[in-house]
Amino acid sequence: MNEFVNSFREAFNLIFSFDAEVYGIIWLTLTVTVSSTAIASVIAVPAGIAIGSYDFYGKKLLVKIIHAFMGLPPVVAGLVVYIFLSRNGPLGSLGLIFTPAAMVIAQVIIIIPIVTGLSIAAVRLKSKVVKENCKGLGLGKRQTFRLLLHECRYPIFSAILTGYGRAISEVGAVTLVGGNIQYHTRVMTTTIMLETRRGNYDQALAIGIVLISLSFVINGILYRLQEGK
Amino acid sequence: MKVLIENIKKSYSDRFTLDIAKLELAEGRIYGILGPNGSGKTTLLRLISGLEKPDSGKIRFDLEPEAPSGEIAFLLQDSYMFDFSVLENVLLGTGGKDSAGKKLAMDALREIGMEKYANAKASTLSGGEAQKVAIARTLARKRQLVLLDEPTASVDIYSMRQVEDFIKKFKINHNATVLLSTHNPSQAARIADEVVIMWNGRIIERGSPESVFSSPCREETKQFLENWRI
Repeated sequence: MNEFVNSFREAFNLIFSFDAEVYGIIWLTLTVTVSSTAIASVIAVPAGIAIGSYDFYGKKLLVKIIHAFMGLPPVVAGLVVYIFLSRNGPLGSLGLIFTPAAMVIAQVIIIIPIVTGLSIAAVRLKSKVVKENCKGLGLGKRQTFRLLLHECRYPIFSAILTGYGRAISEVGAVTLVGGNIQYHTRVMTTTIMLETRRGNYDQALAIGIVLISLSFVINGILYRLQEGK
Repeated sequence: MKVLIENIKKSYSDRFTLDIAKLELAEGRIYGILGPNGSGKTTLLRLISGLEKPDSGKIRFDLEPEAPSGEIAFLLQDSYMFDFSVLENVLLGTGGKDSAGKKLAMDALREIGMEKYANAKASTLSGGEAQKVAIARTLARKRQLVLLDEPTASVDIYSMRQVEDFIKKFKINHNATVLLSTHNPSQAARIADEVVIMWNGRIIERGSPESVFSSPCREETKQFLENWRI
């Protein structure tokens, strides 16, 4: 029990100490997770709407593959990105390995199937009735797409939130491709791992509490945005 | 807009086949498509609207294989209200949100007595009210061809008359061709220039409401009309 009390105290100390390293870790965590969620959503939401609302050859197989990749182990995604970006890999010349950019790439790969799969489920129920009513009014494809997005915005927002939740809690891939380098690629989840290994449970728990609080605040902001407030 | 339907067939597995050898629809007339459930009224409207493709046969619009963009409006049986205000929903049917579009939308709402709900959320309307807004949205601007699938199925008697007056006024103002499917011969008698009777996917009879209702040629038409007092 004492450990938890100490952890909360430590968490407050961490936040209000204005320690540059701690704030650097929080800032990098936010930058990486928000960037990867935004990039993945820009790709996955239109893809999910298109797949969910149109019939085409091979659709069932594609949906099965996407569903399978929704459970992609982050460490496997990290390993693939690592192989591609490592010095001897096909994209090694870009010099991205052990950089925040590599962490974003790995997270984008992890999030895309999740947001796509949930977006497909989101539009599947409404796409027929919305598309037919749009056609009945003589509306074009672009306006139909915008209206479908509007009508399915709540479940699509939930899909994005789920993707963000995966990104902020992810540790395996960012450790592999980021390397957990101090002042450079260390994020909150990798810090928790490191401090636990060092036996600094108070500090690990404190960072965990900050991470959960941060996640809570971000979700709250996104929820208010979703409600249009 | 003139519509010509030739040798149209559309099957849904073994359950139902629409089979129409020929149907010509003239400009500026209201056609009441009558028939029992499952007779093919909705399928016919969906084929004309382009929502479904026929298995075989042709549909021509003023002799062209396709109607000019935006000139067909189709009110579906399960019309849908978008998660906007009533006015914004009707604006979708006007083709623009400018002052001209707003005027068209408000005029259409006035025709069906819904102007006082213009700023209400569409989701707060009752089923009948939502249907009236969907009708206003469909008839908000000029169209050459309008397809209405049981437009008054969920509205009360008073509103039904409002909607019928609106449809008649729309036809006269825009010289539009209107196809209206209904189970209700009384309604067809009130507003249609011509009625088309459908039975098991085929057109079995057509003519003016007076002639078809007073002396039907087919036994099936008699059967269908016997259940109604016109």
